[in-house]
Amino acid sequence: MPDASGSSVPRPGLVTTPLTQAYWQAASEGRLLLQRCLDCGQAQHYPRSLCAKCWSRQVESFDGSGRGRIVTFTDITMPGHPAWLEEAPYTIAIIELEEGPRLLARVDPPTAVTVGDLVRLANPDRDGIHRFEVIREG
Amino acid sequence: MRWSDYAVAGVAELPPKRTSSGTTTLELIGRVSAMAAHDAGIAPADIDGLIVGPHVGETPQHVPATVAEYLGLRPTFADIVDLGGATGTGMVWRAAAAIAAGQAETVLCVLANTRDPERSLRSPNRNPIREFEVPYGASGANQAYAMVAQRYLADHGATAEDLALVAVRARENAQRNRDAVFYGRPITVEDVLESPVVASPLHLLEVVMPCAGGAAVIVTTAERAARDPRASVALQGAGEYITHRALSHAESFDRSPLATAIARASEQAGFGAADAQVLSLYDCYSIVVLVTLEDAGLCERGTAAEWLRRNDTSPEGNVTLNPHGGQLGCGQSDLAGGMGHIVEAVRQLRGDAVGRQMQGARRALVTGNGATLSEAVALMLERRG
Ligand SMILES: [Zn+2]
Repeated sequence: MPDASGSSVPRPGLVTTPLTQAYWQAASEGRLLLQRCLDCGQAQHYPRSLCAKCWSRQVESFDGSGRGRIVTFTDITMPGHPAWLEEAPYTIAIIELEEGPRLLARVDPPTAVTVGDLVRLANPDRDGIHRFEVIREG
Repeated sequence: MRWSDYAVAGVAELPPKRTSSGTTTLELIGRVSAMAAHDAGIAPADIDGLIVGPHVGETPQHVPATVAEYLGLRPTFADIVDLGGATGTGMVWRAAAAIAAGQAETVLCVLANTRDPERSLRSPNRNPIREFEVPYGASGANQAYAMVAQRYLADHGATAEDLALVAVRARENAQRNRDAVFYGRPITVEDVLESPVVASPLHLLEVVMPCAGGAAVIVTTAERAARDPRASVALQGAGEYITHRALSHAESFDRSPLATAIARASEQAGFGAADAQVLSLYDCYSIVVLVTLEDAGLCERGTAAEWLRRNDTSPEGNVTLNPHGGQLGCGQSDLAGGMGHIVEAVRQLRGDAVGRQMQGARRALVTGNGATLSEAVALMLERRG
């Protein structure tokens, strides 16, 4: 059955848990939710039931700046899952956010980034995933 | 405990095959276990320990008991190791530790897998990597290793030719191994660069070929192993380090956990990678070999390709790198492919690597690498006698 992308293979969809529902709700609204530890101040991505640094359970969610830098990336021509074949080539990257945590996300437009580029969160699209765009200087 | 009180007494490996229709993992485990016991000169009744790997999609639970029953074993120690490509290397030191604890005397470590391309098993994961990365089109290992390679090229000004050279060297050595999937098919740097880019900067020929197969290693006391008239192979050091699951959570992009694992193994052994004549380095992708050579301290960061150009890495060189062809040359039988690096190191140190024996090999470094440079295990092995 074709899905929204026109592919005949269904995509592994978003999965959430009660703890992460707010994260994905925010993503669909173009916000990137991070967690901050109230005891040691560490920021983390993805949402957890404890601070992964000091194991405090006093963690709160906050809206991240959505700004960061490309740690590394790849332009995918042969996706590991056939559901993304028709979208290839596309670019995924590991982004180090201003607040410290790293995450994997999409960067648009495809095949146009390099290591070290500054990026910011772009407007959300129908996927409900985080897409970033390169900040061009000047 | 002293690692050197424990030894690898027997090894075996099934030739990797592209497909294995009609067979089961248990059947392959049976075949390769019998081969390893024969190689060790040990009767099944003498095996009192068993370490197996996860059987994704086939035997979700009770794997050691299922395997023990199939093999007719009643072990006094059984365990499962789940460290991806580091599973085989992780098994060896755990087997020695179990023997040191008095829980067994002779431990069979065995891994096998079938491969039916018609029936690809999609795992029913509900873990963070599934939730936070897969929906971005980041399935499978290629994309993650591509990002390791991309960062390496950016940091060091390394080239596509540097990466390609790793695949070429693997294929060169595979030409002496009739069991290798790529026996009879050498390649050039140009061939690699002309193969399709899977995920930039990695080309198809820099990626292992998935296969079916199996491997087994029998660990026992050095004393027992010394009854074998051949030279025996003692464990001298073992280092392990697990830093993340998803590459986004890597501890560092400047080094891999193999650096720590190798340093720990070297310290225990009293010798380092530079003292090993056999480098049996886990090679699921071209980039992993470059990173491992640097993690082992054999050369400065960013200079591993130069190191390769400087050294004849065939069994005729002063130091041989994956003389069996590595997984890039042999094909990767899932977790057994990693164990194949132990099997080859043991054969080289014993002096019975037919058709590709390095002369005078006494010490080996064996590495295992799971997920994306996430789970690292290093072993130092030494010939006795
Ligand atoms: Zn904390």
